[in-house]
Amino acid sequence: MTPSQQVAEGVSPVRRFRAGGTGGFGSNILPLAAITVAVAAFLAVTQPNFATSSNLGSILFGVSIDFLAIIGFTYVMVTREIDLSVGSVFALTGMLTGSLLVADWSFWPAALVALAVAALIGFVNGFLVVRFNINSLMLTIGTMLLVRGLANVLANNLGGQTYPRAFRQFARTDLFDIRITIIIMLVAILGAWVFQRQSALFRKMCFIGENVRSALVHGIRVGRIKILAFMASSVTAGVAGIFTASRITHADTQMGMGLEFVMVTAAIIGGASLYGGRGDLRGSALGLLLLALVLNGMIMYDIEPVFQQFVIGALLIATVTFDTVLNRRAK
Amino acid sequence: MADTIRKISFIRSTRLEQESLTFGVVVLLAVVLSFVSPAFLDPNNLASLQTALAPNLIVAIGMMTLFMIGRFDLSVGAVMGISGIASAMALNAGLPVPVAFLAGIATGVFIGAFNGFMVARLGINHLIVTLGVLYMTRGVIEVAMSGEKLAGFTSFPPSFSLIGQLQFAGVSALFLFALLLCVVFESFLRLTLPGRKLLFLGGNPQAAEATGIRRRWTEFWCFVLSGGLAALAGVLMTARVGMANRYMGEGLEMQIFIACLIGGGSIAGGKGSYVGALAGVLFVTLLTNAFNLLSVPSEWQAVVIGAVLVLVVVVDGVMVLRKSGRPWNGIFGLFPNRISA
Amino acid sequence: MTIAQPARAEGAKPAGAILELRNVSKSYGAVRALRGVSFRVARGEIHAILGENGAGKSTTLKIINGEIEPDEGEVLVGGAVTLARDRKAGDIAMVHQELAVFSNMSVAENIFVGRMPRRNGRIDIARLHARAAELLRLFGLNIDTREILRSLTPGQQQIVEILRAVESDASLLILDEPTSGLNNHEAETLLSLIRRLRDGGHTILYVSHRLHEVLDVADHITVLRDGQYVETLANDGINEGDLIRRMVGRDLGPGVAANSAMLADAPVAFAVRGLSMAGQFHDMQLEVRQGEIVGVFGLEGSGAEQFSQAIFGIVPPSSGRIELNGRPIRDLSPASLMHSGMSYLNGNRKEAGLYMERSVAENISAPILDRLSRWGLVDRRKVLERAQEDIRRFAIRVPGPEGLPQQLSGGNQQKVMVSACLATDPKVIVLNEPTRGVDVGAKAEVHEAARAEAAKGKALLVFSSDLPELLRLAHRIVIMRSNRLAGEIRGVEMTEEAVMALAAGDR
Repeated sequence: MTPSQQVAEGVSPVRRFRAGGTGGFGSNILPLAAITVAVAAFLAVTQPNFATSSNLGSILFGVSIDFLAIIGFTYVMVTREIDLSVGSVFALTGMLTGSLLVADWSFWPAALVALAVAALIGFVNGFLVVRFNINSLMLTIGTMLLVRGLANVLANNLGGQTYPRAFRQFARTDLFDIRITIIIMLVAILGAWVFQRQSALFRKMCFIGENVRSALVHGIRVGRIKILAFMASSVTAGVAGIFTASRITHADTQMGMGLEFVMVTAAIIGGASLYGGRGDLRGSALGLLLLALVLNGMIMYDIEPVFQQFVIGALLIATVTFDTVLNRRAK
Repeated sequence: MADTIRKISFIRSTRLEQESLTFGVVVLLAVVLSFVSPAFLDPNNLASLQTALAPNLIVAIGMMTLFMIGRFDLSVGAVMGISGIASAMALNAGLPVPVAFLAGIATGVFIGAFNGFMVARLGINHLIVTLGVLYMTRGVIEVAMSGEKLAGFTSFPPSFSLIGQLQFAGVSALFLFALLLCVVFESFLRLTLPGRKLLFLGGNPQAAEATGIRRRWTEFWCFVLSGGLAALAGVLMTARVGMANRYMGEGLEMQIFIACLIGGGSIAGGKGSYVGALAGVLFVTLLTNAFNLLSVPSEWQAVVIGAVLVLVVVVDGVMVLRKSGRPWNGIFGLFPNRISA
Repeated sequence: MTIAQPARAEGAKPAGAILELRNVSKSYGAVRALRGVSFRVARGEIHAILGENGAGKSTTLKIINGEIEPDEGEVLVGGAVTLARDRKAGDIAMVHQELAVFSNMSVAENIFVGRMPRRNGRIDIARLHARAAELLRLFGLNIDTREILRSLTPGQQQIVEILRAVESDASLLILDEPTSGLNNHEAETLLSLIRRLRDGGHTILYVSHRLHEVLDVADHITVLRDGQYVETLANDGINEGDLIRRMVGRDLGPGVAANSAMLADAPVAFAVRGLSMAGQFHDMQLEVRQGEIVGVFGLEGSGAEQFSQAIFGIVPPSSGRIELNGRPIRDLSPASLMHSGMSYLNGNRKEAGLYMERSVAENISAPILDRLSRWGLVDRRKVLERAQEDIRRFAIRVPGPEGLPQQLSGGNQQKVMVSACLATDPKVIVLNEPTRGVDVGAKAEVHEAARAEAAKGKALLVFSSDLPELLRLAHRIVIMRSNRLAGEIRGVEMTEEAVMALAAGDR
């Protein structure tokens, strides 16, 4: 028997097993997609205002921007860490870009400087976590406050000033009549599919998240990869922040408030775990979409918009409870 | 072996090393402030300091209790807010003052019990649970206040407002009450078995459980205590300032958290004292006061608070690494993996 | 008096036995930890339990302490048959090997914990410290009872923990390796404490690897081997040799390993020069030549475990040097050591086992992902082929390379780990407990793989608590005791007695 024949034989029975298992790449994508479609269908049937192209378009646009921020965040969770500073970094990067533009910089230098600042914050987060063996939940609450303060300094300096006209249009850039962020999202999801399926880096991240001691023994550079993940988290949050700043046209101290908890919730819904070793960008995107649909539906049903905070808090606890109980059962 | 037993100092035997240090820093800060800003010793400023200290200290007592067993509660600020609102609404509905007072406390106790159930019973990460509850509570506050003006409820019966306005010899009764509470809890911690059990539990949960200390039970009631005390602070504060609105207690959880860490608590549990909570609260409150006196904008205050938190967490981490026997080079060195020959 | 004790104990009839095990058996899955163990402990004696690693000591202790229920047999306390639940609640107190202390609390509080003296609901602090001081004085300790525990030496902390058990008024005290973390002086103090306890009417069940301590302090010594009862000896004119013979059983004769003389000319592949780590091991020296298998043996607490981790940079040592092929290693991290041709197996699956949610193929390829990738993308075909190859080579019984490790038996999981360890084609291989918890068949296969690597000229360093395994596998054995090198044995001199004499012996 040739090796390739054996390979072919070995694969089939196991595939079946894994489809129902907890592991694997995106094993809960299909049920999640089904739920999302069901919620959308329910809203479409019961609320005439839901299935309009403008409503769907704005939901998708909003999700696509948040999605940019969840890219790095998801992969930080895969390594069994967490980055709660994303919301603040998101705000700071957006406002810094805006401030530089108001000070007559041109767009690319401004955006690159802002993203470099974001990368630096990510590096500091990762470095401190790795070197001092600190609980990232704790540390990133600190950086969240610190960076939020800096963002508010920028917001205050700008006052109510709107950003330059060209920048305000930036987020509304269309490609083939579709918002560019939506296209980026679709491309990124395709990229994530390849990344999660094929890349050595993603596998190493999973190894680290699942069993850091074995990963160390297997010569995987744990510290380096964790720092990289934190930097990716900050930079992708920054990119999303730049689009958001452009979208809301002026510095708003509320920008990105609570984003981190939307992200934790969406990522866990999408297949990530506080206990590491798992995470799927496609799932995270669906998680964000599902949350957006739920919040949109609440508005449709005239439920107080301020109640959203309550729902996000409740969903956060519910998903983490689910995650904890599942993880315990697996042990 | 007839050598005499080496006696240890009072501060060491009472484990108040860090607390003393914090008190020292507080005194230093006060002295510096009185020189830098003449307004610091102004009676008005001292009065407002007391008003700020009292609720912070009450909340910190609950938080410190959780710190001792290795937990914490980030929902305290929101609980404080919603309890004040609950009392105000009860008063608005014409209920007598004691009933309204209890309504506020009950709200906090209920939220604390929810936190306790999730953490102690279901074993969910306490940070996530209390953050989620913080969000949910803030959401409920927004809903409850959505029809109200920004100042919220402002008209209270005089007997309710009196609770907050009472003074003894020019010192706010609230402040005295908070101090008294602190003394009571400190005695509880030092003199009773249940008090010591908190530290046993936080110091070594497995060993404590092996000696018959009930971990889950204790954890649950500590969360209830934290919720109840935050509610008490909220109701008293509402009586003091004469209004209940959506801003009360916002961001307070982080200040109290930092106060407890600076006052000798540890995220890992097993240490801390209520005297330390007082020291930490004094520090944080003085710092905020200094910011206001020197007109530091609020956003810079957040930067400082965040930086202090990062610093405290890093120091905590370094101490743990040192305790595990890692050489300094492995912690701070440029090349931590290189060893000296 | 010590001399009078054995006589008294010998004459004890069942009525005088505080504890009796009758035909006790216990299995964990396929592993039979205890098989029909029976012995008796007389009231008021110091009774030692001896045995090699894996002889069944800790299972015996757990059963006596009521932590687990035996599958078969009875445990009698004071002449009455008991259930595990009763023993747990009863007057047996066990001091575990790992310290279970409250390092931020005072000495007095650590002794009394939940039983501090009270008056009117308050702790009677004066009486607490007075009673603690009295206990400390009784056992010759000069410590302020208000001192914080973490500022005590490990030995003093251990004594405080024992005093906690003493204070609980338990009539039977179980001490599991109480001297493992202590230096000679501290151990001496502890032993005199134990004697005083016995003279005060306590019965003590004492487990230790240190033979001279056992001979020094015990009245009776029960020897276990491979989960079976061997003999209970009165400590009356017996010596270490007598004990070792009973612990190791039949003499294996000279090691089956190849003569190491012919390896003396081979170049040194791996060397440790003066490696130290504060409190764990000191001034370690070691050389492994190409084609050589060197075993490292040390009883628990000897520092061998920490040493095994330090040479691969898992926990950083504080000073010293490591050389690969004569070149000193600058960056002592697992990643760069692997890059330099070293590889490590941690066979303790509980600690650092497989990635349970990743397929067997992914597990095998974990250390060589970069080699199997092009432009950062893993060649899945190569991963599967590689796994197929290893599955055949090590005869791993698995549904297929994409099966999950959960479906595998312990032995097959271990073989997957060995495959991953050898995947990089390393020049120097460190095997840490390569066959812990696996069946005989898998064990032989792992050994075969190790010998094959040595035959190819690889240098192997094997850490194992399973002494017969080292005797069968290694060309020579380096022994650690009390955080230092105790000696080296090679060739025909390699017997269990000789190794144990160095590892547990007096000097």
